[in-house]
Amino acid sequence: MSGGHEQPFDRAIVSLESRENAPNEGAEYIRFEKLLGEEVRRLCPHWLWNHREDIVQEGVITLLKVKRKREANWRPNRSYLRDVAYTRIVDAMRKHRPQEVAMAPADFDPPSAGPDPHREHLRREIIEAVRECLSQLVKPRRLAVTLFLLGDGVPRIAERMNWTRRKASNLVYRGLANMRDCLTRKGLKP
Amino acid sequence: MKLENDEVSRLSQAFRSRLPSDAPRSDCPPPEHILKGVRQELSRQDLSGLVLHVAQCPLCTQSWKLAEELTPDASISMASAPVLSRPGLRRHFVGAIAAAILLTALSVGLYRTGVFFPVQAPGQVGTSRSVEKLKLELLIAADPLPRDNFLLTWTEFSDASYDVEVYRSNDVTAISQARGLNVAEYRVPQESLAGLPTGTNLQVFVEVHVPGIGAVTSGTFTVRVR
Ligand SMILES: [Zn+2]
Repeated sequence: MSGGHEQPFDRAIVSLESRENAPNEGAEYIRFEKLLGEEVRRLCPHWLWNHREDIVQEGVITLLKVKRKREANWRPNRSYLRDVAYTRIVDAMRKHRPQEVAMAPADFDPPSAGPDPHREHLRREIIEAVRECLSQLVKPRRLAVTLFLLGDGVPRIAERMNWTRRKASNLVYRGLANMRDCLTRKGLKP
Repeated sequence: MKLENDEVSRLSQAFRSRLPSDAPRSDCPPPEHILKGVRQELSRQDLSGLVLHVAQCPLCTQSWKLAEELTPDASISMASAPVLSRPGLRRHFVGAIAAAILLTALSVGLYRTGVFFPVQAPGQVGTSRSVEKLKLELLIAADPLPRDNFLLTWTEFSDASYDVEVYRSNDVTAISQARGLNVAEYRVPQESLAGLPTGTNLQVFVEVHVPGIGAVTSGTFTVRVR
């Protein structure tokens, strides 16, 4: 977890600090802020948008610290910037929660939608049941089904886990069947 | 017991959803660790540990999905999503536009499905930033494809040979496969498709063997049966 509980970042203080070490750090700050800001805007989940300025500022501090350890003309490339944006966004995701149910990501709607309070209850029930049923799978099936639900196809799962495709396919197939049985026992239809 | 496409889709969406009450767990791995897991830079044991954590942690599930969006490599897993969820459709569309722009000179009259799949040489997987990427694209006449002429064509590489595997999306049952093809096309036998309901989603996976590089793997394309 990051040191994300600091007071809001004060750019002027950093600029003063930086003058003692490197005269150009103020300019670097602005450059990093622009570059990182683009990546954060691209990656940031919508429910975290209110915090994106903080995310950028924390990322810029990371970049400035890295730069101090590198040679003077060091510039982060785009994939490095994305990695920094990613780590700061994940830290922020762990720090903040979606404020409202409606703002939770992944537009999952239960199949039989009733009035809103019922729908919301059903939605929560299904989401929790899926996790619970997953936890009851034997380990290899849990690995296979988790990767499958994350979007990996069988060949990709096989590659990741160093399994044959046949084995990966069987584990996904049997794991999904177990999931369905488990959800049915809970009175839920996937 | 089989799950229908929309059931798997809902299961997948439910799994990826986060509730406002979800809090980080004390054992959540550092974000850098999740990045490495997605990029296949972890040992199998570490990866297993991470995936088992993700199975139980909605926050890390989201972090995993976000990590997949970081690099062009991520399109492998986006495109191989078990079903076309709503975001999947959007990516499909964006990918098709990119394909159209970059490959207008190629294969006039062919319908392009899916997105580009950067293909990675095995052994280089752990260094995804520097890995050589080849653009592999599936070129088909229509989507859905008629079962009596289910012809799959893909980007051709010089002197390459190809392995193809076709699975049913909803239960990942193997439908058909071919190995060592010398041409960049494969017609799925009609008898393999008999009995599949119209609209069945099939996942198509192509492995390219390029002399001097070795076997390179692709993501999985999705095509429907008519
Ligand atoms: Zn976690």
